Amino acid sequence: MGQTIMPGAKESGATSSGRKELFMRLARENEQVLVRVARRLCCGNGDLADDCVQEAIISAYQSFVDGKFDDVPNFRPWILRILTNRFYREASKARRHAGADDFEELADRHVDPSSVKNLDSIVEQTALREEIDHAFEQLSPEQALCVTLVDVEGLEYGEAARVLDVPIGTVRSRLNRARLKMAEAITQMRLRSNP
Amino acid sequence: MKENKPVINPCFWMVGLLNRLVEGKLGGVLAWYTKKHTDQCEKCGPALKALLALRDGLKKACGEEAVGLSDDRWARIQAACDHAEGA
Repeated sequence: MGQTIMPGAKESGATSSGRKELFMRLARENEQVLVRVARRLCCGNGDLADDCVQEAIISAYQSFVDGKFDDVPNFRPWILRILTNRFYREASKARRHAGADDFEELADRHVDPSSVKNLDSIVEQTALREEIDHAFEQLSPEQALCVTLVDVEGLEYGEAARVLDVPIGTVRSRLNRARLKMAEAITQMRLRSNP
Repeated sequence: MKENKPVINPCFWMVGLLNRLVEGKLGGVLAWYTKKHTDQCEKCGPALKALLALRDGLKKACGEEAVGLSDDRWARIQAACDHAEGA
């Protein structure tokens, strides 16, 4: 993503409409990443994921026009962090209401089978997709998010650390463990189907 | 019961090196050592293969997914932003 534009937009004296235009351009550039990450967080529930993205963009816009955020080259980690924080906040609220014991159980409740089907029809229903989905199911939400950010979306460790608000070492160790778990799950699945 | 035994179980001191090799971030003597080790180790060889397959699978299955918000969503975002500005 070409995000090397206008570092320090505030200092350059950008007008309010200029900042708005810049924000909308950056939001559009990051639209696909935001939606993919949100769908992973929401276990494939497209509507819920789109709600989260919509709210995150609106909330980010307010901070952006108020000049609370100026680090344009780091727009992507910043807005992803707003998205993940919003998701976890909403999930925790819902958990309190639902009385769910753990987060994964809560995430399962969000899954709408028809939306998963729609999503899959976009990508094409393949054995590979099933394997990857099965492997993701073995991960904790934090591990799944790490894998999505780094291995799917191509964020650097530093960017992922900023999104998750954890040290780089934590990102690295979560990834190491998550990848091994996923590789194990896929291998076991293949062994079961081709004993 | 045999099924539950982990099949991907690399030597514990190789986990970081294998991951960095898969990411393409390992060079020089460390890359040489890791490749040499995986060629000979019956635990790390399959682990490296599985990690490489996972890396490619993740990119193929998820990374190329063309997704986005509907025009209606963008219109709502635009309206909310306009409203925030007016407030």
